[in-house]
Amino acid sequence: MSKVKDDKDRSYNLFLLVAILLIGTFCTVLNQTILATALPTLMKAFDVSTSTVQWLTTGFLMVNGVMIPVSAWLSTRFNTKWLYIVAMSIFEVGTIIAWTAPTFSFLLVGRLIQALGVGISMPLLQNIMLSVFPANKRGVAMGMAGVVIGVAPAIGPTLSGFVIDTWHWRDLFGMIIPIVAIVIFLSFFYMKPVLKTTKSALDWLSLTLSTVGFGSLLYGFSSVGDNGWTSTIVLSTLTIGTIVIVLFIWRQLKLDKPFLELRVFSSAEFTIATILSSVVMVAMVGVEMIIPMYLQMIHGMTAFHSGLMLLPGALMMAIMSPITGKTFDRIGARRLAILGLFLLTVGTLPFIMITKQTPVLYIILLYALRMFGIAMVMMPATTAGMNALSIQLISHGTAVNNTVRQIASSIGTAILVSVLANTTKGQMPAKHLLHSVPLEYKVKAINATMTGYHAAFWIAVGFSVVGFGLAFFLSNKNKTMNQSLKNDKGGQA
Amino acid sequence: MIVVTLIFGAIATFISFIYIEKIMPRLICTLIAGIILLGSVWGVVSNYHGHFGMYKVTTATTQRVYSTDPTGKTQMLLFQPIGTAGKENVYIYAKKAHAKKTSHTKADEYTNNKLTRTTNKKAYLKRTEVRWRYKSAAFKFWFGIAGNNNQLVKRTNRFYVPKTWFVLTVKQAKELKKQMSDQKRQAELKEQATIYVKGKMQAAIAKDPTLMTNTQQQKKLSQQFAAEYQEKAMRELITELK
Repeated sequence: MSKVKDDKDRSYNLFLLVAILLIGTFCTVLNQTILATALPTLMKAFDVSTSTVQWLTTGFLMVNGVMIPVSAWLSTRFNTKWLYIVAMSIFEVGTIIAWTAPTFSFLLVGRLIQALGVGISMPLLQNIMLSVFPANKRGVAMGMAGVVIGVAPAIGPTLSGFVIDTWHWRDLFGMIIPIVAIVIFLSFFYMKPVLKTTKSALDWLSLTLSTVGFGSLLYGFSSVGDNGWTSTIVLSTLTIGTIVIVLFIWRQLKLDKPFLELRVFSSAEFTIATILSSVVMVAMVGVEMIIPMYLQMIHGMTAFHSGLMLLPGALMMAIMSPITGKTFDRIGARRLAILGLFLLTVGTLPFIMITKQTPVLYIILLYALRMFGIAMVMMPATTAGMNALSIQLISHGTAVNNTVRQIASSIGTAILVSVLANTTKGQMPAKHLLHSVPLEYKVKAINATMTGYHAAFWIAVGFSVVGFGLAFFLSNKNKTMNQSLKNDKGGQA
Repeated sequence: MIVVTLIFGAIATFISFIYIEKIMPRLICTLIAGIILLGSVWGVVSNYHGHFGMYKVTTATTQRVYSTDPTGKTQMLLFQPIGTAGKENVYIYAKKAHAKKTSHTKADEYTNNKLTRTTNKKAYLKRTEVRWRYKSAAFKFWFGIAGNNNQLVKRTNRFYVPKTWFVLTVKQAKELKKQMSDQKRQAELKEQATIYVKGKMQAAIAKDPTLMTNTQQQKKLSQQFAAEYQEKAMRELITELK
């Protein structure tokens, strides 16, 4: 585990290792959202319905989410180098299947295999970044990881819109294949087994509980948009999911060497940081989804165009994430988080007064202001939480943090979408007006939709305000529990 | 300009709150930068929500409109109903006499169409538009970049159409054209027209026997009668179509 650090060419190796990690993981995380604007094209290409085609993203996110808790065990059990190579190879295989898919089933299988790889690579990136950098440089390291985790999903829709308009949907997958191939090839030479591993046996019962529990929770929340909260499918999957997760938690607390170490929550700092990053995730993902809907329905933009409007905000995040990371190493997360959530609130409030004629420039600007704020909270808060844990607990901390965030963002999205849909539905004009007076119907329908957006944005403001309040509970100092790991790594410059 | 101050305010707030070490200067700078930021956000919101810095301008333009019949024989204004209630219509008209290309009113939620019958010989369209405009160059300088100057609030198209004109739906006009170009119908009409003109002429001669010798006057009258019949037949046909 100390191989990376012990040679003269140490920094050179570290640079390449980090570059391989970031590029590879960027390609994988990009796939979370890359089909967002491609679904209509795929529906036509394979002649499938909307609800079927949705499985390409729903199924992907479910497998992805289910893999995250497993990643904790994987990364403490297996050699990091080989784990990364295997994860990227699985992803590559999935991508090739999707690229060449002759039928819809093949495409779906390809996507699910891809998701297996992403579920490992994403938490692994954070684990490695937290481990290969000394504790006082973790902010920068996580800032770089933040560029991947935060920005890749944000540019996915725009990129896919562009690729589909210019080339073919297969190129969405085709363009990734050579990059990942190079990453895998280079990993053989420059990837190092940087995480400490122990030969722990896999607790199959925990694995089953976790997979079933998180899987059905994620499925339940993602079905809210189509079926509503009170539908049988949503209620039953959520109930089953909750019961199984309770059993899972109970088992984890009983086991000596648990599958997922939930005792990380005994650190108050970690708990607050996890809640905070989850709240910010909800505020980010929910609005990231609603604004394109607003631009498409009210301003009549295409999917690609509406995605493009979010690009300045995504770039803002890419620029700010390393900067705030560096700042975190100096002053800790508290001040950053307080300001970030203040700016997030200030940037979200205007959206509750949005009108159907609000100039698009203002939307872009306010959205970028939100991202400016989010960049100050997301990764710094996560890093602060990790710093409160000992080095042995980091893989578990990352897995727990990512799982909670994933669940939170699916809950948040479900709430926002259902509030939007229900409020809109309640205000909608009578259907018969559509035929008798279509223009009057249009005005009334737009007004109804605007009421829906206002309600959804109120929720987003609510999350921002809650986060703002929580930020004050972060500790002032950037305290690292594991300063001792410096010794572990040998000569510290 | 508002874009510049908003971006400046955001960055300045970040720098002062995060990078100024001493408490007092930090608070003062953050306060100033924060006021710039909040002021800009307030400006943006009141600009799009309450049209801050703008006022409503009403402009009216009147133009002559012509029949959509390119031959100019039939004077007609067409409309296409959008809904089944018949409250919302798109009107189709020509901007020039004998124009092959027609124009139509916009079908959107801002546009309202009205029709007034006049005793005038000519048809007109009076378009009244209400738009938001910046109160001053200063406001335009601050917010103009958003591209909301001249944003439409309401548009009213009022057609002043002579009573003699036909106002038909597109469907009726098509049917009319079809009927009129029908060979059998044409022959029938021609025959009927001859009878009609003949009868009228006889009546006229009975009234004024001097006409017998005045061929010039006869020709003029027969043309007038033919046109009269044409219109009568058309009206009958249209009532049939309805």
